Amino acid sequence: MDSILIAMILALLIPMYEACRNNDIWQQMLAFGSIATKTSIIMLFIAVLRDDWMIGVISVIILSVGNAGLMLLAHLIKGLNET
Amino acid sequence: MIEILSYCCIVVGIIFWFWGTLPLIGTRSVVFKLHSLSVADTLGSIAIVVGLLLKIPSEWSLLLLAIITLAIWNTVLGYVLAYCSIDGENDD
Amino acid sequence: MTDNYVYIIVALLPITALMSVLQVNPYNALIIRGILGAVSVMIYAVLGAADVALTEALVGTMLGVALYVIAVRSSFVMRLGIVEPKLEPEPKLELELALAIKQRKIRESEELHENFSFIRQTLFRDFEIEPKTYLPEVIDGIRKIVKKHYLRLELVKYPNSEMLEEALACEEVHAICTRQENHSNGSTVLSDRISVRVHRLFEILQSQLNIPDSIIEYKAGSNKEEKH
Repeated sequence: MDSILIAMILALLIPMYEACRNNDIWQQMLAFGSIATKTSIIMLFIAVLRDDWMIGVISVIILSVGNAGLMLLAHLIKGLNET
Repeated sequence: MIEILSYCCIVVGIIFWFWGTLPLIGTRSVVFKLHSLSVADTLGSIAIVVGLLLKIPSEWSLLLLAIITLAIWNTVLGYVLAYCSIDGENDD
Repeated sequence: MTDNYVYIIVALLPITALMSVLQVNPYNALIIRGILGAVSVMIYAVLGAADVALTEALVGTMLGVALYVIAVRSSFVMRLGIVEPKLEPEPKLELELALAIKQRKIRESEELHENFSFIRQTLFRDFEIEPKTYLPEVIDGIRKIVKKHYLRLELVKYPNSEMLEEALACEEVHAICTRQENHSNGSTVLSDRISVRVHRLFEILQSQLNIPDSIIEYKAGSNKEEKH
């Protein structure tokens, strides 16, 4: 199970590298969305591994809230480019 | 038997993650990256959660909620991001 | 409790923090701040602090970043005042025109329409020539320079030059752009005068704006204590 988690963290490192390297704002938004989903899934994985309901519920809430926040941010940045 | 199946699901999900995230490094357009990323993130994550569901069925309610959330929100998010980014590119 | 993978996850936090510090563009830095928020949420949850994780996700990542984007957007702006007189054809003239056409009693409506548009064109030609009070390339040049410093350029239009000067004195705008005629050697030369109130903006524009026939000057505000 540890090796699976380490593979997941390696997959998490790819969009982080991308966000650091690329200066286009939409590419960074893509990387942010990818990271938000991946961190929530890693949290859910750890929660199920430990049989911890509290972290599991939190991770599901963050999975939906993080996506909603991302949509808000995308619209804000779109309005920014228009003016 | 179920143990092997669940491991298979999780490994397939992680392969999906890598397959969809690696195009981010290249210099393709935003929409191409968004396509591969949304497919990989949604399908890969659902595969991982299904693997967990097979492994530990006692937490089925939480995992089912996670699957529904992923399926709905990630699709909507992909659509919104594509809409916003295309609109922004036309303006420049 | 302290498994090996916890150390790897915790090591992600300083990496993202460093990335956020190294960004130059404020908007890119804010997106990296969102990534930092997501990673820290994961760390808090893995370490067992579910309440802290939820607060960080809701307030730190969502509300904080959205508010900062709005704040940066509304404060990173350079206001440039220009003169643009309102050009409206006088309604009285139009009425007289209609009366004149009515008196001529042209029966066919199509002919009337053509004649009307012809007369309208000839009469209103003088009004359609806009007196250009600023050069578009000057505005474009300023916009390009200012964009390098992540500022937006907002044009504020005033009907006459007195109100423009007053706006600069009242600190409504950061800079004004006026066009004036110089009579030298019997020929008139048009030149653009850009007056800047903020000293840092003046330095930037003076070092980078190279448009012929344009003068950049620094006008200190009425109160010496600049807030910028």
